[in-house]
Amino acid sequence: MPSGKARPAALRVPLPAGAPRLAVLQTAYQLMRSAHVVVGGTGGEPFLELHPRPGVDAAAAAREAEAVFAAQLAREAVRAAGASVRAELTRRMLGLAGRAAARPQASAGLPPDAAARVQALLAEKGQWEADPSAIKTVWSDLKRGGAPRR
Amino acid sequence: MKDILTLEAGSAELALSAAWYGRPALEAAAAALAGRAYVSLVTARGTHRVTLRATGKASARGLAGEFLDEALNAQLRSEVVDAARATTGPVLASVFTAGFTAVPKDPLEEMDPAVAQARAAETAALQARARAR
Repeated sequence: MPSGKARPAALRVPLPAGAPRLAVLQTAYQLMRSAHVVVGGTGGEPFLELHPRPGVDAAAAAREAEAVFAAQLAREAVRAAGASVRAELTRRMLGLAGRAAARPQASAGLPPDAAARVQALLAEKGQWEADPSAIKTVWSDLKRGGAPRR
Repeated sequence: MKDILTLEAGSAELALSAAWYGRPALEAAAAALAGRAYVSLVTARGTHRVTLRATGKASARGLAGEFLDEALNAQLRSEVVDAARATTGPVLASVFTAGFTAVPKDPLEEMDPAVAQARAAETAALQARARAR
């Protein structure tokens, strides 16, 4: 980290005892832009030791740590509250996926009796290939004011 | 308050809590510094002691900072993966079950049961050797 800017001293930000582990680590991770962060502390009293990057104010980094930790706590609470719902959704989706996989595949063609009915209908319509929607009058003829084609 | 980071001429020493940093995360961080620093990692009594010595002109403080960033990154990633395992486990299990169907039987083993027995014995011996390593 070569820099002409002064490097502030390290400082420790204590976090509440029993803070959720992921919230602590996420906070440290988010602070990496401002400081090199060490997570420490045993016995349920964690702390973050901030080694601010050159040009970063240590007090500002500490304030940022507190704000980020509060946001992470809120996120963690939301995540914990939704955990059972997510687990149930996953379970049901997997159940549905299993049923979909077990479903027999539809055949590519029409059943023989339906195909015969379609063929009979088309034959009855006569010139179905030239006029599949049975309009009988071509749009260009109508525009010219011509008589409908028979 | 014990110092976590100690700087000496050309080297840096870190004392990291094993309660927060797993050894794999520190090994990943050491790998990220490959070619730029000699890294020693000793774990004892709940503390990882990491010594970094620059191979070139890089500052020891800079290397220590980069090591800390990489270690935190690796540790967080592994914990996020662990936290999501309750969801990802069943999903991946069903994907793998659908994707890897049962292997068809070997005609040789069908014709001669002795072949199947010999192969099973060989596989069991290999597995036992692998577990013993």
